[in-house]
Amino acid sequence: MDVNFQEVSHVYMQKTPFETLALKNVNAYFRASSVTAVIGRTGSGKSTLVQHINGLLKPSAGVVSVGEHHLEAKTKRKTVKAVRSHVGMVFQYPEHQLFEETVEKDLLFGPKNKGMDVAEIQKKLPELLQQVGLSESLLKRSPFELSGGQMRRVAIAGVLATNPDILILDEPTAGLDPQGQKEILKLFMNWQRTYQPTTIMITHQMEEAAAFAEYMYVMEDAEIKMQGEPETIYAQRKKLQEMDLDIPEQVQVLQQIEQDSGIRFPHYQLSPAEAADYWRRAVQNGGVPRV
Amino acid sequence: MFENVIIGQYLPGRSYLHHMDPRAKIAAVVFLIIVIFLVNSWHGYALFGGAAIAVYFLSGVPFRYIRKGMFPVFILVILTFFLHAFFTRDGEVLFSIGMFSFYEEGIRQGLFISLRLLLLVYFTSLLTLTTSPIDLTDALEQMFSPLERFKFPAYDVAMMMSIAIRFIPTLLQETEKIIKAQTARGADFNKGSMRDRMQAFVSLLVPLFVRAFRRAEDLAYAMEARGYNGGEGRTKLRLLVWGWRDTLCCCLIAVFGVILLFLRQ
Repeated sequence: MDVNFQEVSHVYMQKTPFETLALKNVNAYFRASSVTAVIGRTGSGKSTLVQHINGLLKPSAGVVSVGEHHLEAKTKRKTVKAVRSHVGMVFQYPEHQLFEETVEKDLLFGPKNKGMDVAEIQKKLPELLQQVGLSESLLKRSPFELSGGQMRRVAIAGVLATNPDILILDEPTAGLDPQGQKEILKLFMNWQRTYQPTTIMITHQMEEAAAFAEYMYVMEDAEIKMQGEPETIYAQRKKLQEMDLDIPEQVQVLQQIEQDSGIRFPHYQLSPAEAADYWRRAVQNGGVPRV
Repeated sequence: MFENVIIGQYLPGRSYLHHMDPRAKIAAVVFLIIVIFLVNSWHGYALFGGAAIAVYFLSGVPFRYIRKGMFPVFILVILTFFLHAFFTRDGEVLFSIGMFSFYEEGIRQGLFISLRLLLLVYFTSLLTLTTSPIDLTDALEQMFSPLERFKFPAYDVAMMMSIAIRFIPTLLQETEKIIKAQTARGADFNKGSMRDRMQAFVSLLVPLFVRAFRRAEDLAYAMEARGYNGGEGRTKLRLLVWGWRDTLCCCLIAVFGVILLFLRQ
């Protein structure tokens, strides 16, 4: 399913002294089954943007198209509900949404609400738990007995349980240690590869976006200021730094090597080993670096 | 989602009322509440209405806000009006509809009570709209501190109140976040069968309580870590200052009260 924003604006607390413009004439397109990152500092409007996709917020002006549905200021709740059943959303600190007595019940909350075949999904729960890196013995445990990391994984599984066509991740790794961040990110990458949902990830960490996304939107002051493939974004370092962002360290290193040696890398998503290998082969082929 | 809740909401501003000492405002509101129950003549209510309009212009609060805040009270007001209109049987019969007769005294009392309720809510909401919660608790603490002689823990009560008030926005935010998260998981808080809606509310309340308890614990540790051990001998960062506005207001209110007493029937 693809998502299209046409001239979307959103105003919080309209007609009060607290009125704020959170989105300003945003145009954006998320291709079906693609992975897109939305980057920007806190308060730039990233969360507001994605909450339009499942109708948690309605545009004050403009249209958000999700598949064949259109969400506008006056869209009926029936349409909104129809859209919602296609969209899974992992919020910041998703573990705060756990509430059931057992992990199993909590995982089935979403599928049940969205009118899916609960018995069918129940059978697949052990597999699902495995996919998020948990053992199926947790099914009968209370989610509140688990460790923080486990709780987050259960909450994520609760969103994935509906196998959404569109998967929205709102800083899903916030508050985790580096190892945990990597693991969670990997989990989503694997899921994306297997089920191919349209994935939209919000983050303020360039490294995360770099590891995952094929397209990027950079937001600032309620507007989309930059967009393009990661390479295009990385080429504009100055502009990024003005927005308190920077290109990932890994890309900085590769760019520095390119500058000093004249060797061009095919893209910046290379792992350290791949980059070293590429460099060695380039040198052997006569592309001699001026050291 | 909570854009329409204005109970206890504070609107920052720079009006005459905003600049007044909260103690003066509280005293004035308490005085007005007492006086309003003594008024029993049309002249009195006319005077009170005039005062209400004057205070409205002194407050700088947009009318929209007051209207929104008063709306829930209207239902109560209309209900009490009809109760009085139906059940008071004094004076002449004004008119009857079917088996119900409306008496002069009933209508009169109904109107009086409704006006009383409206004015009462009006003045108290202006108090909270123009006074920050911190100022309110500070003022209450000072006003109750003479009672400490009788073992009334004014300081602790004020501290509890300010902590509670401090966490209202946090809890509202949290509530909104959890509602969003559960809505994204397909929960429906507004429509659906009783059972579904109960389930939706459980999915909101459990996380909310879990978080609130955890937060209370964190706050207790944080306060202790900064050496908090009760109110004994603590000084204040923000001092309340009594100014000319406050003296003027108290004088005016006192004169107002005396005039109203003369207008009693």
